[in-house]
Amino acid sequence: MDYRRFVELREPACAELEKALATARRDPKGLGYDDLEAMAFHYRQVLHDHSLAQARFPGTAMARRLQRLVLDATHWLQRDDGATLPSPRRFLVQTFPRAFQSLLGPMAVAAALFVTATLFGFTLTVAQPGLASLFLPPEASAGLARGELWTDSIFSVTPHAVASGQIATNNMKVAIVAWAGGAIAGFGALWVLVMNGLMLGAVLALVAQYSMAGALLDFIAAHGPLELSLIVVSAGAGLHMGRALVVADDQPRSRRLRAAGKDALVVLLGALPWILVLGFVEGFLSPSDLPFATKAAVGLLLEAVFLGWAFLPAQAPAAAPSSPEVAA
Amino acid sequence: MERPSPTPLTTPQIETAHDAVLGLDNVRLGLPLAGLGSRGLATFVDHLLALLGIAIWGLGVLSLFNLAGLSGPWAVALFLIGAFLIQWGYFAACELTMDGQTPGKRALGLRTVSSVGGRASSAAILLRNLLRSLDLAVGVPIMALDTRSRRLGDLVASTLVVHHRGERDGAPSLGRVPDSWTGRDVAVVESLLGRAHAMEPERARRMAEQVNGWLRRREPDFIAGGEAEWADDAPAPDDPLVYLSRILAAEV
Repeated sequence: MDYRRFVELREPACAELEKALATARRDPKGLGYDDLEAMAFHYRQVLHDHSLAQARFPGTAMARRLQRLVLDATHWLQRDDGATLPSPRRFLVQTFPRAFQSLLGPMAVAAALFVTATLFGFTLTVAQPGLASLFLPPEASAGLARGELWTDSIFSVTPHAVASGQIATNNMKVAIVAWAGGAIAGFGALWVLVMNGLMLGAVLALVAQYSMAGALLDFIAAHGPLELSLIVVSAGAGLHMGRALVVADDQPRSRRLRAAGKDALVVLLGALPWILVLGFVEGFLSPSDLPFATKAAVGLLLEAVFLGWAFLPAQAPAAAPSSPEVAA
Repeated sequence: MERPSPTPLTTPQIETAHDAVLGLDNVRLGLPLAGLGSRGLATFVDHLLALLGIAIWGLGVLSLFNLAGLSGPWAVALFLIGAFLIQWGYFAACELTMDGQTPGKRALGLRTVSSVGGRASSAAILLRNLLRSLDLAVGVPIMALDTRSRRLGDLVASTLVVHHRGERDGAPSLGRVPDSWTGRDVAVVESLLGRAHAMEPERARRMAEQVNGWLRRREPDFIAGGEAEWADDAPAPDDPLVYLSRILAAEV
């Protein structure tokens, strides 16, 4: 077939699809079944014409026009799975609890790694206090030696509101990095878990050595339990992605990584608002003069509410709407 | 009357070549994938805009608190949280609201699409952008090694970034073509007419004259037919480029 004839024959279908796309862009909800059916018919026709043009008349205006139409129509007609975000209510009662409960395995691994690193850091620091400098900033170690928690110096010079903002944003960054780092075969998540565990172990050993365990416990009672849980949860979600990349299965790694990424994303999105709230608890409540029992009660309550939410009976997912069926 | 059973509009995700993206009926889409350079430039523009957004947010918060006579530390706390949201949410928010584009991508003519050229899901957009934090460490090597220039976020979220041109690309299309011309001949002449304004004028005219000479020698009937269509209205133009455009009924 010569080029001129090709253009003459394909022009009507191109014009129809261009018109349909313009209408669809203007008023997508105004499209009826018949409109979609016609659009799908022209799309299929243009798609095959595009293929022929690429083979027989590559680089010509008609080939470029067909390609542009195909790309536009594909973008408009083909929606990825789960194109819409769940409603807040659905996210709260269904999406998050289900994703959280499906990731208990990697979270348990993350918790075990964190506890092991903490014990290791504690043991190392007890045996050789000088090694604490490997995990802690020098000013924190020096402050502890003087009988001061590093938090005292922070809250003495920084207003509580500012410190809260800094703490919240810093902890959210740590959680995101731990989560995202899991996608590199789990290495990033492992790094965050191990380093934070070693730091915590070293701090615990030093405060015990300087008889300041009570002061530290008083400071972390309100925010500590949930904060550590959330770091472990975020890193566990990251490990879930890492496992999908590393462990062989009967599915392609790309597909498993994508599925794992979706669950991990839900868990992270559920954890981040809690970290924001905890920033303000740590900025205001933790350094306050409230009795230890009150702070401990707040800490336990926050942990209980989070876990109660995470372990809500996960309802079965609603049947996914079937693909738009269009006679083409 | 009962409607006939429709055929599902689905896309089989089968790939015959390593970098081929197949659409409906396994037709190769030929997605114009964006490379490291254009994507990097778009990201640079977006980071600049995000920084500008943070600065504007900071000025706005401080002005608001000053006007209301409220405590300064709370303004700083609000600024920090807003800056965090802009830093981490700018890309995802833009792509969710601008149909897979950010201002940087729009400026460079790029768009994020699903692995089959469709609209990327909200979850995929959030996923690929929250994984952006790793790009400083592994982004460039992964993109350089991947045949589709995907970064880690694209691999996990199963997305691609493609060139998205406007309605018209500026190149002319020929309304009249000699029967003997192949697709390659048409593409070469269209390319000449489309790029002539960017070439040395003398060189462009010389090339157009070569084509005109070829047409006069090999396709005299075609030339005669073309001239007959506009000879009544105007004389044959002296400029060979204009002559060629008119004889081929080139339209931009």
